[in-house]
Amino acid sequence: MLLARVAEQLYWAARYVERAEMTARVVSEHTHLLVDLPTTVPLTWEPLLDVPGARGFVPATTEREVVAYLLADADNPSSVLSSVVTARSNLRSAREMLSREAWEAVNNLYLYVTSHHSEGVDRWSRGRFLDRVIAETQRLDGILATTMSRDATYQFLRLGRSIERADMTGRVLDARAVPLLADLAPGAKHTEVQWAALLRSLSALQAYYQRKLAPMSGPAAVRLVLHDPDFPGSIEHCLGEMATTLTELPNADASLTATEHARRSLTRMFGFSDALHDGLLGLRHDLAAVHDQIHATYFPPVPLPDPVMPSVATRAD
Amino acid sequence: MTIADDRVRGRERTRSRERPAPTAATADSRPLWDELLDADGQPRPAAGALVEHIRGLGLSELQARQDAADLDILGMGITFTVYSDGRGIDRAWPFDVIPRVIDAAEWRTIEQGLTQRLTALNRFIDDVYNDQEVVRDGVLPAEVLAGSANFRPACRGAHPAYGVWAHICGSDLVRDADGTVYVLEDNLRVPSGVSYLLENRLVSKRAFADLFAHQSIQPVDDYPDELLSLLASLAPDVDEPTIAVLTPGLHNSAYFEHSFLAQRMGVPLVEGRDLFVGPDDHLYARTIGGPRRVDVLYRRVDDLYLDPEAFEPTSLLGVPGLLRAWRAGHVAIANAPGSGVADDKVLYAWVPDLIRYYLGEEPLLPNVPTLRCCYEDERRQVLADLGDFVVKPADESGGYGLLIGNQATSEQLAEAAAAIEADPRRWVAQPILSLSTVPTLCDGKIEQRHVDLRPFVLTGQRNYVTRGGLTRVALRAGSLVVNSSQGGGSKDTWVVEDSSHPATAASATAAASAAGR
Repeated sequence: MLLARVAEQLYWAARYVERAEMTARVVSEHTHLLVDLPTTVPLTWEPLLDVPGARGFVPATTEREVVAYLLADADNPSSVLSSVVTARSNLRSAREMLSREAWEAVNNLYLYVTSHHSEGVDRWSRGRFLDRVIAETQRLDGILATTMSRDATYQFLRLGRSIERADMTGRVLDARAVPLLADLAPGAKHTEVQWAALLRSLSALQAYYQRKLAPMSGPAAVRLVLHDPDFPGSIEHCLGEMATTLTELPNADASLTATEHARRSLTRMFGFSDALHDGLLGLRHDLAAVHDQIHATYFPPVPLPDPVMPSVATRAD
Repeated sequence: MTIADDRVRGRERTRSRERPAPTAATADSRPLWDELLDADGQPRPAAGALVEHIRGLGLSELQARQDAADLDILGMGITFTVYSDGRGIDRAWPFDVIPRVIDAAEWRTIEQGLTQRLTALNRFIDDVYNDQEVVRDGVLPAEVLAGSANFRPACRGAHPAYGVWAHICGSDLVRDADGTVYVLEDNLRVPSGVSYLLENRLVSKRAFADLFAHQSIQPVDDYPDELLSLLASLAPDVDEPTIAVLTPGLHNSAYFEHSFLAQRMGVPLVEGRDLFVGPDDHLYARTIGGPRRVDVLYRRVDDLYLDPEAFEPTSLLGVPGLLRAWRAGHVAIANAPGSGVADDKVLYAWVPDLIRYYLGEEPLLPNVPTLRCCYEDERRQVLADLGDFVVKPADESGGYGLLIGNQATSEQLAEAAAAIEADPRRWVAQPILSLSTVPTLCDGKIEQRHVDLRPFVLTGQRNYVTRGGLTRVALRAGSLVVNSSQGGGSKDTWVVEDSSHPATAASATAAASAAGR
């Protein structure tokens, strides 16, 4: 028996853990890029604010400001700090459903991030902080995969993780790939280095090499991340995972239909600049529709406001 | 550095500097009873191995194990919630690494005494909600019952399974300077602390792994299994009953425990808003697959907030109609609503009489002599020597509202006297017991600190008593208040077979050599 309220907390916790990990990866890769690129190529940090949809809404332009906003800002509900705090507070009220090791992993992630987040802002200590955040979230993923029964509790965690990964991947592509594709003189800006960095930030670089797609090509990279069914970070794979998860849950028909709709739109998405941007916007709306359907089916309003859920349920789109 | 040396120095220090007010120990000038060491500073038989081990470790190694235990507690997320400025704050559970040791032979007597007590208390609760023979036979004055804040008229005529109402009880035991163990109070509503008892063992097993390997320390972790089978035995006649733990929510001070027990029993943790009572008077949970019936509720919400239809109408924590579903026999509730009538601090004074009345036996565990301020002669006695008593409100728990006469200022004493005169039924008074001590690591030194003990008793078709209990320790020098909400800490409690007993020593040696040591 899984309570509707607890299912919602599990779902959101998984989304926030995934959001923390992907945000950490994006910042980590952008910091590496700074080192890799010659100083003649100006590297701006503002585009990263497009990932949470915050560009133009927050007064951050410099590296320090943007990184502080993405990693350590308690007022940004999607910062690594806020995501981890929210995930832990949601899981705290669903703790009885988790394996003991899983709870301890979440708790350790929380203790680390809340006491070390300022280290993520300074460039010299940032790498160590981000590596640790990524390692701890992956550890949690592994613990969940190896200690949790495949019951509804696990399915809601998996559902939250897949939908968040699909959403974040779309956002990263929109923020980084769309401008790169639009660039008319690629060589001058060392775009191949930038594509490699983008793929690395999505843990997709190795998959790209293995598919013998080298040398680096923007459209091929985008195709991999959008469509490759075997690469676990691709949007196609995430949507497939959502569908298989939903089939394990009761009353899933409407949510499955919404997921299938998102998949059909995805197959029509192509790797050219304008079309990609429009396609990714469409994906974002499709995922929001799946989310709304999941919400309507499984998390009907309870008689009282929930003191635990963060006030920001979805990001400003 | 030995425990014995520190004990002497610790007492000197607490007496001369850190205790401006007179304390229990100085008040009656008897030496304190220490749980590990006898009056000559020699280890008590059951504590021999532990004391020797700690002496072997030395103070810095002991401190290192304390630090490791503190880190374990933080990492495991063992917390409790305190209220400050209207907010609940999550704090790491305070734990002292030096355990308290109880001789297994003594424990068997305590266990029998607790079983006897809970059997009588349950007979009493069933009686007061039905025929009230105890009043008719003149054992309990009608006005005591009439004045009880925890008597729930809405529960009259109910017949829970096996005639048992208080399924889970946490009784507080204290040991006076002469070594006598008293029952200080019974907690029959929503007693908490058992999760810390279990977690303390986990932490202390790491700190003293070598001792656990060589000594027969009785295990404690079967409690959740016993609790689960008790709850299952209460279910109405259904296949595979659904059991749930009901919590007031994340902000309750014992939320950690509610979550812990639900997890350990593998049952859902629910809040009032997750539940509703249907038109068929059955209890349902709102699940992802729609409403599902709930057959047994282990409730950790106080009576008054359990059902706004039957009790406090403004409560948002409860479930409208729950009492109706319970009275219809469609859901079992542990502890049954109304059980608190027997843990009233005024009623406490009658418990020995209740044991004699219902069981025809003499109490095996003594009560602390208790003066009832509702009786004029006893009230005069209390008011005449207020400084010699602990004065307690009948309707508070958690150490709130408690006045320890010999540590109070004259203003506090005057206030208390006025409060007693204003509402005598609300107050009882007991002589100040000294409370035994256990050596405790305080700021890098070993000092004596006062302790109590809360064992947990399960009652259903049969009885179960935890092996030992939760030892709570007053971390401030000289303090007698052990509640974690007021600066108390905790210790692991070891029930140990006296190793000087030949059979036990032989089996321990055999086990050790079998393990290749």
